[in-house]
Amino acid sequence: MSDIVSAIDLVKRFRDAPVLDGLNLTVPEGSVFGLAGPNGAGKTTTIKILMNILRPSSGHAEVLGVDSRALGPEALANIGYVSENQDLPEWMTVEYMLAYLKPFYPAWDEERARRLVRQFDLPLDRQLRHLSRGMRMKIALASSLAYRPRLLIMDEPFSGLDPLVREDLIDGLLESAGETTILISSHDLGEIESFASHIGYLDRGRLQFSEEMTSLTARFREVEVVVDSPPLVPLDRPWPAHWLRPETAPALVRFVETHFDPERTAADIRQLFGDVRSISAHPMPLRAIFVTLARARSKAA
Amino acid sequence: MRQALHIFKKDFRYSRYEITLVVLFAMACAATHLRGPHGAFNEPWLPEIFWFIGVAFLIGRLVLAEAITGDRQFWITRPYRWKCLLAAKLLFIVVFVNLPVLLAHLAILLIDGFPLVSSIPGLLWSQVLLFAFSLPFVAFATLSSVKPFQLILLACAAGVWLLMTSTNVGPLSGVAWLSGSIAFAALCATAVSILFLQYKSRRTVFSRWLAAGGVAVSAFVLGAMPWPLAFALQSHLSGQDALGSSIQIALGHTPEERFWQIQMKPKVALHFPISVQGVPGGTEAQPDALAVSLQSSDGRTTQLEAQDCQSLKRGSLSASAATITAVCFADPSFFNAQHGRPVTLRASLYFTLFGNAQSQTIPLSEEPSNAPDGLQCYTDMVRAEWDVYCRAAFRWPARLVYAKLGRTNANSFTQFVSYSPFPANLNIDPVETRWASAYASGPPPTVRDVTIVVEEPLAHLRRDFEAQGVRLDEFAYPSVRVGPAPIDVIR
Repeated sequence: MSDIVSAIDLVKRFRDAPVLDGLNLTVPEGSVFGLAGPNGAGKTTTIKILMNILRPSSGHAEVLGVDSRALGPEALANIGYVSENQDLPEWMTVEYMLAYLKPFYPAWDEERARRLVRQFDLPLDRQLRHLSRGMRMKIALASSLAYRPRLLIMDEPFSGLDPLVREDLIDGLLESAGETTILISSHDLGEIESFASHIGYLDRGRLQFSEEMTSLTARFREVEVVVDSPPLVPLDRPWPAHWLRPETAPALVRFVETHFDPERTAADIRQLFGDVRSISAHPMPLRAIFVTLARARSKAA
Repeated sequence: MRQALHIFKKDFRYSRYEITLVVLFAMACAATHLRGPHGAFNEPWLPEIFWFIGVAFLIGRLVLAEAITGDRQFWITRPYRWKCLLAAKLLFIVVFVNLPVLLAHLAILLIDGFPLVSSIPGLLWSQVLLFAFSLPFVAFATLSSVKPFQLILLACAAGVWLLMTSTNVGPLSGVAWLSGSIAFAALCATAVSILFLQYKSRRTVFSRWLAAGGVAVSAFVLGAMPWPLAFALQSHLSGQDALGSSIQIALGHTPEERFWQIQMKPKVALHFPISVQGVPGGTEAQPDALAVSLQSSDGRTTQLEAQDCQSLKRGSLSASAATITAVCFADPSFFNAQHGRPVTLRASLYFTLFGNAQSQTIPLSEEPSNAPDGLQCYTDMVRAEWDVYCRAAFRWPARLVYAKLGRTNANSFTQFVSYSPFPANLNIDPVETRWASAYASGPPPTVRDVTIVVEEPLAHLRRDFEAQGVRLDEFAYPSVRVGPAPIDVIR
């Protein structure tokens, strides 16, 4: 899979305060890439640089093979952009906005636009200023999917939306997921967990890791080890670096294995603790993985 | 181009109510002009102000529909072509700012009976000026999307607009077009640069500095261009220096009759008679400006600039000589210190030689008649039948214009003639009206014809002269005596 988005050593400073600090990011074509991270991590800045809304202080980014600073109409005709921070032309009606945008996109699919309008239950004759926030996000998404973009970039699209609207939007997204690469940022992992194929975690202006979702969820396990009491916890010996958040209790050791492999993990445990009564490994939700990582990093820092 | 038209149509839909208002104001300007007695004393200032405010608002709205500054705009993530976007905005201005004014001008010209063919250069040039003056508004509107900032910028632009379009009737008005044109060109160049930078690459911070620099340069040129430089440029442009080689200038004798002049206390009014000899046949010398330097015997000097010598009036006329009376306002401390003592006077007289006279006798009635140089002349029986009005389309011609009523002396419509070579000024009302009065020579109630004499400027000259042993008290203003009525200008 080739990369549809790539960023190398991106730095962005606002009045000398670094927001991005050497960001390296690649988004494989065909993926649904979730860019996660806490508020202020630099997600929106990253997206704005990719969209040529902001210029990087240094570093380089390419989108669809084009330098982001030279992103012109030809490239933008293949990119959809939906953001909670975008000002829409509020005087336009839904119908007029779609009709207005149509000539800008050679690949505009009128049938698909109509279907999205029906799917999102958009009122054609209503001005955008009279639409709810959820409806505005829907029209923004509909107007971005109607031309079947190669890349759809979404910045916090679900923020503050009620669950029903969120589901509608996700349904709309999933229909395009096969033909469109989606880069979606969110501070709420639960929002993107269900449909992201790749995940990147951004914190303090740096990408802490970026990985396929299946690989990530496969390698993270919450491991519980029941040992003979009293446990012999080798506190004087270093724990493996890929074990995070170790906790001990009488006859119980618990930790997060970040490179889970049933045989290798069991071997590591036995090497450290000797014979144990039982080992159980539980899959972790994305939220738990990120909390573990964030805590580990803050502890390391 | 297709995308530009598409955006244009969207902008039309977006601003249709504002457009209607602006078009109505333009129509109101034309209607107000046409309702009056041949346009005289009937300047449509109120609809002009409304039109101006409406246009400023319309342009602001037009630009902010696709605001350049900020990072939340809808359009910047859509495949707009910057050239198409800019072309759409400029097309909008042509169609909804220029075109209504063009139609209003055409209506006025046709209804007033001006010859259309000879008015075409003025008609087109006024459109070029109007479009060019819109550019700074468009450029300023791209510098911020914050409404208060926009209002400040538009107010600044309005100030510049009013300053540059105000009628200049001072003694330096002949060459004022030079500083006005240079300032205008600087402003337009700044605007074009900003538009290019903003629409191509949205470089707002740099553009703001550029705007500040451009406005500063324009204001400096407009307000601080040395008038001797302006005259030198004008003289260079006329290129007829040899024509005035026979002319000699000297300080004349104390005038017997001094024309009315407002005292400017505590300044002292000094009436300097200037003798002009050797004027070439078929021409006449018309003063433009005078600069005087007075030096006392102890070496103390005082300078009287052109602004201090604002009343220059040509007196007696003959084939080859003229007397010019200049009223200069001097510093009283210098005057009092040198009272009764001889001083040395050094002066530079800037004047224009007019010639190639054309004349045409036309019936003097309330109905305007065509006169030379695109003028239309008439009288107003209700106000004063000895007054002659002449009006011109787009600008008063760069000519000396006289009216001769019967045997009365010729009366100049104004001595303040702009030597600008351009065929139009920037005004919504395209008609400029001036008047000349035969009052000083007595009303000629039976005269029903008037002869309009028009002379063109042939050379702009400067002559320096010196007089020693001048006693200032001989030239000081003794008392108020009423002479010929002052000239005036009506727009």
